[in-house]
Amino acid sequence: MTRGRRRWAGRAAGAVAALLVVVAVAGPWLAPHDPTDVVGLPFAPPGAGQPLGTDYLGADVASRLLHGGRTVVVLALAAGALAYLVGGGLGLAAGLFGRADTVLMRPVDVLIAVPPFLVLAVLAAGTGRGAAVVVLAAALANVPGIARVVRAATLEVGVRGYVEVALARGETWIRVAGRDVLPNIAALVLTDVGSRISAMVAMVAGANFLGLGLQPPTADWALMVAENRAGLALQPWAVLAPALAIAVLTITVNLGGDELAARLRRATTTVAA
Amino acid sequence: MPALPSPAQMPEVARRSLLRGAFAGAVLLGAPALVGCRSDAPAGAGSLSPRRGGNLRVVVSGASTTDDVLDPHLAGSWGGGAVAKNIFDKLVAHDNDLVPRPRLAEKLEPNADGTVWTVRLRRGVTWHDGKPLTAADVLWSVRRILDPANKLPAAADLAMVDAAASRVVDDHTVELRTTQPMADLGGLLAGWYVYVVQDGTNRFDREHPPVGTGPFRFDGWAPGERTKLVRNDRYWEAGKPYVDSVEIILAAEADARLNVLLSGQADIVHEMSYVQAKAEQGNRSLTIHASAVGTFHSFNMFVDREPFTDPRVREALKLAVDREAIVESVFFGYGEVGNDLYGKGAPNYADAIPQRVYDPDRARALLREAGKENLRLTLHTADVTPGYVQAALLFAEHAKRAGITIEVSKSAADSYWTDVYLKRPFTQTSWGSYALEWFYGQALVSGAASNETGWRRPAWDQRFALAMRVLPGDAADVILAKGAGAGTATPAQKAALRAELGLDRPAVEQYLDWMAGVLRGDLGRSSFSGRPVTEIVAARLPNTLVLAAVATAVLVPVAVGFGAWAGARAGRTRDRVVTTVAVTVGSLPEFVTATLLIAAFAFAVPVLPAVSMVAPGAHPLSTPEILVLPVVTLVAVMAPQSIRMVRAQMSEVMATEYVRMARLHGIPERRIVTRHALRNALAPAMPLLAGSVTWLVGGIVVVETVFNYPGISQDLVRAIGQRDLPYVQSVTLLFAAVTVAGYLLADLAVVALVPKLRTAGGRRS
Repeated sequence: MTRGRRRWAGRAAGAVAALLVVVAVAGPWLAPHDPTDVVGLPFAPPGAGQPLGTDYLGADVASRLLHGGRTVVVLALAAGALAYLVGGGLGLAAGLFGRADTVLMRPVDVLIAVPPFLVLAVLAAGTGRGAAVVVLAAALANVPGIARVVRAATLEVGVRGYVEVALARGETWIRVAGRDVLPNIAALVLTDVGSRISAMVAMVAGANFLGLGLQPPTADWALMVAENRAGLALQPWAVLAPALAIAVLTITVNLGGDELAARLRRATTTVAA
Repeated sequence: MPALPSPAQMPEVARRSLLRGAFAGAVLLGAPALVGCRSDAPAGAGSLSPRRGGNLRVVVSGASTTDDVLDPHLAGSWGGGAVAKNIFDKLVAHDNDLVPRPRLAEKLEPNADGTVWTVRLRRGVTWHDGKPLTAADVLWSVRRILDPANKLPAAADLAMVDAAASRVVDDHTVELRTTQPMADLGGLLAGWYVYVVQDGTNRFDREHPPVGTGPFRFDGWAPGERTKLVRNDRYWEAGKPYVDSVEIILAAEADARLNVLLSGQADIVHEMSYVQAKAEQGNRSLTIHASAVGTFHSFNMFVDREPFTDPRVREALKLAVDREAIVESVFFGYGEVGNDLYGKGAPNYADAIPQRVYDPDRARALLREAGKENLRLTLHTADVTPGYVQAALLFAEHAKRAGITIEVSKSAADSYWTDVYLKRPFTQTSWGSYALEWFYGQALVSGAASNETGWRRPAWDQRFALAMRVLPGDAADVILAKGAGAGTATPAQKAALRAELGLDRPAVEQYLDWMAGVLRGDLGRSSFSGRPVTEIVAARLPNTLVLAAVATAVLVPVAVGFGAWAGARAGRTRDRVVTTVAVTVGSLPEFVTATLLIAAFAFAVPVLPAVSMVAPGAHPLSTPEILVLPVVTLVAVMAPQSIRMVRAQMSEVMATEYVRMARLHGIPERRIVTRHALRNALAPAMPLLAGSVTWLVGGIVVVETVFNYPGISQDLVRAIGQRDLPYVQSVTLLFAAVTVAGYLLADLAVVALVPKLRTAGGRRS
């Protein structure tokens, strides 16, 4: 019964996360107003036509909320894709080729000890602020962890011999990695995908909040929190709505990701058995 | 109340019609400056009849640590101005009724053509150190201001004074000569920076505390935070000052300032935002004063730069902005629309020119005529003055209806005046209420310091120069105010500094230089302010370390306690509750946690401050309540990860043979957990706990920003936006050192926990 309840919770979290992502991506088409349209006085309380009131400029908070999720989701997914691509590539190469191991993993070991914010600070100071910097920093923060897990998992399947056989047959290593290694290590590597993506959402949002990424008038949940903070006493919804949206997104992605990983594990185990 | 900088003072001067005229490149709006006073403030800040005694605390919009200086000839920020005004005196200055009065000067007498001015000093004025004020002090001050080697922004105020030809006549008389006939030397002497300093003084800092003749003596200074002043009992103005001491507190952001006032840490708040004024209208503990005259906000176009060279394009832009809407939504009605020329309300202002109104169709037609349909422009703005960004965004919205696409580019507030204003063709500024000719001299002649519209017309320059020379002679008490800071001379000064710092050299070379310096223990100089990084960091680092230490001190027991408690019963209800709560809370970004905590505990149930201010010289721990929310946020962000690590190790240990053995021996469960399992679980968890220090670094920056805590983060975020590499590199290095120290401590803790590692050669092989 307990396991059933837990699985139900995981599924619900996954469903909410999926729904939020759909709303975030499709939101701009659902919003009644343009995100920069001024529809009333600034910091007007919720009322007819503006269910969440207006923001510091007099734009509709509900409309900006519907527009502002896309950047959060897209930037976090871009960071996730980049992190798994680079981290996965490094880990696979290090796992498959003993000689490359030290060369590839030492820098990774150094990077793992570097606070992610410092990576962001140095990148932003060196190249200027912007979405690209934020994505790159969030990805770099996750590359070492992913590379280590992939390397360890690859070493595990590597010793089984069939990778060596395939390489001896003359197949390219990319093909070996893609066809033989990846399917076998996917479940293990993706165990923490939920918390990783959730952490990347948090990091991207945090950087945008500090003004190191996206700039106004972009509608973005983190920017909305930053720019409407002055009106917290006057119109709390302009701050609380985007803050809660980010909160629910990070929590459900984390919990839903755990459920996804559990399913993957079950599927792999079934195949193996 | 003591002499605070009066925002945007209005000159009472009659000027002649020769100077009447419109200028071409700007769209203008007018709005008053707002000041809030607590009703219980001393010296009648909130009431009309002054009371004596007490400590008056004023929170003023101020710059970062890097910009807060005690040198009155350099202090261009509002905060610096407030300090200078209370410690020093000018020869001539505005009184609170906005009428100019002689101060240290008793009389200014020009010769027939206005090239030689005799300044007669007030007698019986003494410096804070007891020395009498003499003519030598005045001449020294003028020469110091004008000395090109000093590169002081004040030089612009006195540019027409010939320092070399001026001389001391006797102890109480100075003769100032001007390079050209001057109608109103008094106007220049009342300039923002033109304070009289003591003969021979060149340094104003903690080692060389400022000595003035003003109503208050210098008492203490925390750069970028606050300045303490105490009553000057020997002040020359009878019966003044009213209060015993003044604290000038700096806060760069409007909401931080208001929070300082609302939390009872200040009596007067300067430069409220319009939103705040609206929100606090009904607040009985607060009186809001709107100054009688206001600030002019304008969008400036460089008339000598494409596409603004075409007057039709400029007119189209002036027609494409809905001024009424901006006044209504940005200034909450605290303002009125302006026409496209400076000086509404000033004497000789050209009232006859009809007010331009929003007419997008006409704008579109003009652009079509000019062949500039679908015009695309970039408007540069920054959050330097309340309303700038909002007004810019609204302009962009309005212009859409005229087919104009305005992209609003927001730059860092700290670099706007240095890197953007006067460099980009389409920007924003504000001016206080000045006499027209003062403004024209500052902004509308070819060589003007703030020629923000690129207005260069030799014929106009000649007419202007002629007008300035034939002004009426009785000008000794005719003063032109220099009001709100449009940051006029500062940009030029800073540009010179940048060149001096060699920022044009290749990045690699700069980096190597910096590294070489670090090895010698020198972190270099901030490429923005030119001050040594060590000095900037040292002022704020202790506060950051205190926050980090308190957070860690709370974090470790929380992580170990909950982790062990949950791990000892892995899989049971309490484990699941702890784990679920940890995952939930740990998923949130720091700023979301902090915002939700502020909403809950500073607004919904106001028990804790939303802003964490620290008194100068005081320790953050002396007001522990300000640390509560920041520390709770940091622990909420970091603890979950640590709890999970400890829990995992603990549950592993609890499943080992020796624990089962201990149970079989009948040792109580509690004893097994605390005596046997915990040590062994903590040893491998320690390095992982240290690893969470890496997250503390990012968390602390966000938390300090959200709570306006006076740590190094405000400077760091500014420096990142500024691309102030020496500063960012130095702080990065510091953080890295802290991280390494964290790992080292964790290793030592492991050795302490596992006795077998303590014996020689006992490392696990």
